[in-house]
Amino acid sequence: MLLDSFTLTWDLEVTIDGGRSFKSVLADKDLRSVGFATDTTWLVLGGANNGEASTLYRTTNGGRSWQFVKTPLVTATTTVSRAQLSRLCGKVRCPSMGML
Amino acid sequence: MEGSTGRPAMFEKPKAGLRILVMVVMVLILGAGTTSASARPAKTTRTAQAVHPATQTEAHAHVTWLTVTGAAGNLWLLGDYPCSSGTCLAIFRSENGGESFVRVGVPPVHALEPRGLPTGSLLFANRQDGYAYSSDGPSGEDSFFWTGDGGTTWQGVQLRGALAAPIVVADGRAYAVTYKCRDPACSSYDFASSPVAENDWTTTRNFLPVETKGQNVSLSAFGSSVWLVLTPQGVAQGADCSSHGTVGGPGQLSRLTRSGVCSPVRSLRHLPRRSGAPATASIPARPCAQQTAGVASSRSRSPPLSLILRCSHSRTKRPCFWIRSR
Repeated sequence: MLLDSFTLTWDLEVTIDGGRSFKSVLADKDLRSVGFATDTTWLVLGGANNGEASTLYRTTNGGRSWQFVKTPLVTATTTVSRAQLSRLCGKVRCPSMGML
Repeated sequence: MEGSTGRPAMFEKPKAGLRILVMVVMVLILGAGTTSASARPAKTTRTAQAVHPATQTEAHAHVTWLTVTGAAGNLWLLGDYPCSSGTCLAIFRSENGGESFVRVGVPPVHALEPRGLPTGSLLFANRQDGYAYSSDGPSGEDSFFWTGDGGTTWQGVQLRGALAAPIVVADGRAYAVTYKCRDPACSSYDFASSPVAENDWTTTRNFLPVETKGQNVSLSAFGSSVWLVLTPQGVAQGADCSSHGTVGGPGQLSRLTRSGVCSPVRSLRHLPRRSGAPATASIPARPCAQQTAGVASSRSRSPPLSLILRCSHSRTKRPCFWIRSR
């Protein structure tokens, strides 16, 4: 397996003969990093350059086939002050203002 | 359904439209504060609760995923997302090859962007011991953390200077190369290592001179060996793989001992891409059209592949050749 980068655009290429030949996998995709859980189970992060959404790919057979991986969700809690809400809702009565 | 003007009905009801507009603005403000140019505002499934004098809102944040790494059957995923304090980190671990993830703890910093580093920022040696780091360059402050409990807690790692390359792990130890620059000169490289199960670093100072600011350093590990590559950062814009002499002088490939002693590696095999028998060469057998040689390790245990350098075409980004150690 070979993954390296010179311009922040990465290629993932696989060798199974000690480096004599390489085969591109996930060709033409902007890859950012790869994680190797085992010799055959890998996770590859692609996209996310130029504002694109990240894409995760996984293989369990050393790159012969790939599946999209659903990225985990992060729940963020944000606090907004009543003053902020009042400014926002000053011209129009917000549906949620009655809760304050 | 359309109104009398031919526009959608919602535009015939200004108050309702404004309400929607206000809600959209609220969502945008709630998601503001990001420092990432690519980050989008938080959105989806917003649920507001009445809290005086402020309201807390939960949302699924837009996460910018930064890197993945793996070790010992596990995978980790690092990202950051806009939060009330600006940017927050998230690290997830998968024990089933990416089918599902559980969130683990994060280092006490707001960002771990691999500034100045070609890659990295998260590395695990096994399920328990790992590192998270970033670099602001030779005059800036690094963020470098170690966990010995699978990411539940993180401790700061104090090294002298900035990381010159992503850290590597070999045979139960972590290795790092650091340096410092104060205009116009840079100090020598330091070489540091620690057992991965402890945050106990020993440093060999001045083990190698820094010749130029643009010098590029790569560390790689395979088995119990650690490899160091030093190459000048001569970028030949527009050069192609057949151009010779367009990029600066030769680099150095050394095998590092645990104490930071370099043993130059002189015998290499030059592997023209998808061509015939490899030839013996030294670095660089041909000048690299794009920046410098890089390093990649094979995780495979099958010999003889142990270390590969690759040069890349500057325009097409396609590789020209590899050199591997014999």
